Amino acid sequence: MKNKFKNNEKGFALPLVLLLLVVMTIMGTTLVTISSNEHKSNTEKDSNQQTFYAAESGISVAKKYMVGNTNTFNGSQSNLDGNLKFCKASFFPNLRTSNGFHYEKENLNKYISASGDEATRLGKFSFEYFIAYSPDQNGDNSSAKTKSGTNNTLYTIYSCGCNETKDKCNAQSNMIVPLEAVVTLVN
Amino acid sequence: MINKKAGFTLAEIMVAIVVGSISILAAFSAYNYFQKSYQSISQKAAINGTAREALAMLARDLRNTGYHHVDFANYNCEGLRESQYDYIGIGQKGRTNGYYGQADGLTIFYSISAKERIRIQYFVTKHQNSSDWYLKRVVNINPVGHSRSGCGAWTRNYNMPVDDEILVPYLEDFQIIPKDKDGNVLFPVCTSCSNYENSYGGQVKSKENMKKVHTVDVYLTLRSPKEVYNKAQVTKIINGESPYGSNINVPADKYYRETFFVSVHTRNLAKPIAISEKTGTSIGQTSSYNK
Repeated sequence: MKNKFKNNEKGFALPLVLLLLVVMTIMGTTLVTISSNEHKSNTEKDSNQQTFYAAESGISVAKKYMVGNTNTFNGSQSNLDGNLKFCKASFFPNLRTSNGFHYEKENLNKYISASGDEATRLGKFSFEYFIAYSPDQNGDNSSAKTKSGTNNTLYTIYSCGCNETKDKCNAQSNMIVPLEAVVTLVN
Repeated sequence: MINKKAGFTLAEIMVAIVVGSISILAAFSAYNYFQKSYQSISQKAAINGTAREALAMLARDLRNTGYHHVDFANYNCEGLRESQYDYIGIGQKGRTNGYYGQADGLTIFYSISAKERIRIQYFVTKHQNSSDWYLKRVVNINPVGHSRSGCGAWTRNYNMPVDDEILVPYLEDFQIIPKDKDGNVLFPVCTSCSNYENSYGGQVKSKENMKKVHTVDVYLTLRSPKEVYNKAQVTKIINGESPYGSNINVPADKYYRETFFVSVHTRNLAKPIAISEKTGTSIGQTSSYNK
């Protein structure tokens, strides 16, 4: 009977606390992972949206160029494949040739006035566009087409937004949003 | 002393019991707290994820709505004339849908090449024997069939690339509100119009309205798959402006609900014309496509 309690080292407090600690650590890490994944997806979505706007800016810039330089758009086209950096014809499902009149690439902060952090952020997005005759049903854009019932020539503006600067953007590793717009010039 | 035995005094045991139970209680309540926040955060993350994907898909489809390849009229497999094209249809009031009977359905059309036109349908439906409602997406290439020579036969495999895909589970409400460029709600805009819509001009008025759609507001209300709250609470869902939107009183329960909203510019419907101040040349946009 001597020292019955003193020598009884059996307890449950330590294993219980350890178990709870392990379970809570696992839950805690999962929570952090879930949150950071959510954060990442949201950032990506945000970036994708901005890239879309970059492509849209490309179309606006292209339209502005067109109305200011109407003479450029009735001669012959040239093959732009070697000149285009990340906005290749292969991004557009209905285009198989790479002919075009004019191309340009620019960072977004050049056209959207902003200052400080916002300017830096916009500077990391860019667009590239090219303007060509609208392609026929086979994706061939070598000759001019007119809008049915009119004499207006149809042009297509192909524009790509990129979530990287115009010089660093790489079609393989960056996010590219391709956008096309069919336009006519009317006097 | 004969009776002397080594041991604890009553006071020591009492203190040990009190200290022990306090620490065990603390550990358990901490565990409980972790469990609760884990549950609610993982549920919120789950519905956030599905809504994000679904809205991105809806936005892209809506942007392309009404796009026609410049050669579409001459080469489309369905043999459609331009006056026969539908652009966008919304099953609004009158067609009861969803658990609360107020959800909309959306049908949109655009061409993906000179030959092919696709119809995309979003609708709220029950899945098999479950009592929960889902947002489904169905894509149909050349839904009218192949009537032009050189177009091959219609096959389910090719012509229905997305057949009954469950896009969003546990959907509570889905509202589509089309607006013109001044922000006024357009009604009706339907492709298969109900009696209610027919009393407002039906198909004929819809055809006029389709070309005026400038933006489309999309509301998506989702419910968490598992219960989140401790106490049951009443929820009210109001999406979009009355009388075109929804106004739902959800009976008290412990689920978490969240509404996601996106307003999409339908680039191909209400077409802009930009006029250059310098040259007087104007640029007419006929259609645009976002892959």
